[in-house]
Amino acid sequence: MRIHINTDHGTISPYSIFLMLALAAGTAVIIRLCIRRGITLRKSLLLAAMIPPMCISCAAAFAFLTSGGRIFGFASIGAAAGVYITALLISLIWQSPGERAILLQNCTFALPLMYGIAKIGCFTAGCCHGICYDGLLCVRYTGKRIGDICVFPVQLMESVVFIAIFIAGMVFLKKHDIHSVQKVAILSAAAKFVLEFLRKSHSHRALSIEQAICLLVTIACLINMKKTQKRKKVTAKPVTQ
Amino acid sequence: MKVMFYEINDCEYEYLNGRPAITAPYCTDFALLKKYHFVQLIDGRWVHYMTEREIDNMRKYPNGEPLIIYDDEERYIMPENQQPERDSENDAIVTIGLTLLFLLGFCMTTVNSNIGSSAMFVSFISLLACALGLKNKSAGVVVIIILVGLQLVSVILLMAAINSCLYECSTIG
Repeated sequence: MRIHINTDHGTISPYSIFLMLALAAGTAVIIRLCIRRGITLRKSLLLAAMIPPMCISCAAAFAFLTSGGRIFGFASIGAAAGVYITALLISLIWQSPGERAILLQNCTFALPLMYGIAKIGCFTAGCCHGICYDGLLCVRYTGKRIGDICVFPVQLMESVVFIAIFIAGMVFLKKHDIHSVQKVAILSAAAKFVLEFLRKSHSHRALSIEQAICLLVTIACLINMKKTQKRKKVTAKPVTQ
Repeated sequence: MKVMFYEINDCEYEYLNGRPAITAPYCTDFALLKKYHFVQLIDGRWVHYMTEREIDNMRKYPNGEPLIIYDDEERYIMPENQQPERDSENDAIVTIGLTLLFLLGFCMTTVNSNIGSSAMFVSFISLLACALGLKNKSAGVVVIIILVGLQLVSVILLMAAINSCLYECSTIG
């Protein structure tokens, strides 16, 4: 079974549409989680207003910098950094350090959904395509920009995996699992790390920058989980003069 | 230590993430939690991070007794070295002045881009310093508006170039 996609689109490309959908969905999830967890509507809407532009700008900046100024595109790691920077900025400006952790946690839960939807856009555009492949469910891209190639549907696979991680994250949160944030981060980093090997752009590299960041994130989360398990609840610590 | 926080009985005092906090009991009404600015931790507990005023009040409270926090001016014993509250009128004047400087710089970029952008940069940094260092909320709002405005302009420019940029978007993901 083969999927054929013609990448010669009209005025509005599906890539743009899915990118905007990803931002809208992610922002909606973040607003919903913030309101449910006690963040005021005003702060939630402020966060929502800043996330899309910061996300796109940081994604473009990361792609530009990591390619040495040669490539103009969007990098998922940069987009994730943009979301976290926004949450930090909001908590700094509103002088609410107690809410900072909650904002960052909610962003972590929403990011897999944003990535999963955005990857559908990449799939329609032939962007970030997989290694050469001619087996079951291979994707044949045609078009003036991309030529005629048969590749592995890595973007589809990423989309399915990350939407599943998002659903798992919501289940962990509903159960009030204290390690839910770390689990979502580790699952996302591990999935990104593994699936990167199935991408055409990874052919001539041992380890990409994105994979190195994923490794660091995994290690940091594992250390944090260990610390959380060891930490004992401090009750009634008196406020001394 | 047991705490009676306004209408919420049987709260507990805790030290969370380096800050004193009050934890509400389970099954507290959600409307009450929102009313008194409680936030939900990842483990499901609702906490209220204590304000400086509440912490000062706690310091004067006898040990062993349940702490009662409610909105009664006579109840609070002001510490001797309490800092005066910020003058909101002064904050507003400073914010308006810096905002006008930013707008002036924006207009001047059409005449002299160096002077205009320098004025915009200086005013933005000053607004950021006021918002973060001096806890000037109106300056914080202006900073956010500027950031959102700049980013929206960038997004519009990026969206206009997305079709052509797809030719370059081949390896990064």
